[in-house]
Amino acid sequence: MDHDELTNSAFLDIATNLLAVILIVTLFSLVAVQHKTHSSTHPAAQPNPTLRFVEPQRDLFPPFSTFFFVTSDRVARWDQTAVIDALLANPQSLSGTTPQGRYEWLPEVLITRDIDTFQINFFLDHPAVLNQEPPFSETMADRLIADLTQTYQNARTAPVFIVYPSGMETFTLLYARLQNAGLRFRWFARRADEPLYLGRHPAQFTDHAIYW
Amino acid sequence: MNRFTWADIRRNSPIMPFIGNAIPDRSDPTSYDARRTLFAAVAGLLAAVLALTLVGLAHPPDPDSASAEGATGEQETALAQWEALWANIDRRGEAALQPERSDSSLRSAGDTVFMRYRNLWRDVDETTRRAFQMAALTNDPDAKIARLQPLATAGPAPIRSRALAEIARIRLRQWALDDARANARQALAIPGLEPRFMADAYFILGYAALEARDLDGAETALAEAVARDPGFWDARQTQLLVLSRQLGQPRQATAACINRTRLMIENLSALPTLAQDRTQFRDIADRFAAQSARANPAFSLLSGLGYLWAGDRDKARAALAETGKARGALPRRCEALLVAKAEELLARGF
Repeated sequence: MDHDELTNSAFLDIATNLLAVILIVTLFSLVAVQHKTHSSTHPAAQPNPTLRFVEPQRDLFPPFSTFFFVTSDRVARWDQTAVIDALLANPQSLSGTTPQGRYEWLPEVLITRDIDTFQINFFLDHPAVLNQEPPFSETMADRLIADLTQTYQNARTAPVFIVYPSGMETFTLLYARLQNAGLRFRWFARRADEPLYLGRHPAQFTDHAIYW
Repeated sequence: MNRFTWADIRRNSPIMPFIGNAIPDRSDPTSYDARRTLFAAVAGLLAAVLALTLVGLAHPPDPDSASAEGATGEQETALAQWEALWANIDRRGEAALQPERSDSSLRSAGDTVFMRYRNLWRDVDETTRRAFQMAALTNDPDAKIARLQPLATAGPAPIRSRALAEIARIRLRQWALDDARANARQALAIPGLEPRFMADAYFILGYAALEARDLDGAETALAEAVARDPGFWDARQTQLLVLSRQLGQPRQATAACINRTRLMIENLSALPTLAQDRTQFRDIADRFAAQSARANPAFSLLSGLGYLWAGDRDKARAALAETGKARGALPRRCEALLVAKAEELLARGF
């Protein structure tokens, strides 16, 4: 009887230890599986090798720009020549207006870098643009993209879109079409009262604005 | 019943014209032996030609060997400059190669567009300045050039050269390479032009040549640009690119190989100084480490130096060790020189 009890006890010990080992192994396996599904080694978390991150490089000789304002269902080309004509007509005046808005010629910085260093702000007159421009339509989008494609091919001039909050919906449609056409373009979101700031200064070459 | 033999067929058949004897006539033992000897001799000659061709392919001749005497002088000069470079580095470290900056205001950013020097244009009259500013504000390239043209034809030399360089820049932006080159040459022809203005014109010539895939032209013009303005970041960076492409070419003279590697080391050391950012060492080293997969000892040496100067000794050792493995891409003597230098650096146990 004692012998039988000892045998049973030994068997139970072995069974208990075995069970403990199985439990530990199961526990570690579960943790390992969970870790795998929550870590970057999981196949779903692996980066797609066909997708490449292209490091932006500074373009030493970038394309020329043509600016567009996108606001309240309107896409208006900026009449930059009107600003230049106004500046030449009143060389002493630091500000003025054009049919599209108001410009401010900022004073020269104390330390100049180049002979043509300048800074200018242009505040868009939203109501004026609403009156001047027709609502942007599908037909106009097709025409605009055909025109931009030709301009890039002929003069290497690419569009820059200044998008105000009220124009974001219009630009969403235009963005897809620009992408599909394979056009080179840039766009910047601006608050309604935020001006378009242009200039030639060293900061242009130390931030991402220069990356065309 | 007629019986025909092969001899009859060969003699009479119009559809079996024989040209010569396909099967030697064994009835004439002298003719057979002579042909056999001839065939054996031809076969021997062909085998010798084949062996020579294989040896030639395995060991391509040094491009210098054809004009060995002419090349010796150039090689000696290149070797002397190579030794001087390493004597300098040994004495003062990579700081020896940093360009001297007499103007503390020098900044690299935007130097292509002439922003290298602070207040260089301070004394320009307002009318001229406004004309340049309006040209910069204009976006239409033809209108820009129309505004700059009067400034390029009259006035002081710096103003004319600046206007011509700006027109050349506009032409480059339009991919009108020939026009850009013509404007840059016009700028260089202005008498009494300061070297720093000439550097910009040479840079435009070098960049246009690079775009036109004229690597030799680009190498020459960029060397002129860097020589006239050692602090010209874009010129140095473009020169580094051109030199690396030249060193990747299959055939080049030993002297050219040594000179190009030396200039690349000089640029490698100069660029971080100009950018005021030592991470440039690592960026450049990474780039050449990737290129050294093409088995070019110059790139392995460059990569090793970049890592060493960036402080990553493990990567430096690994890259320098690659130098010895890469063989056959460069002239033998140049390769041996680079491998010896890499081994010397490794033996120092940095």
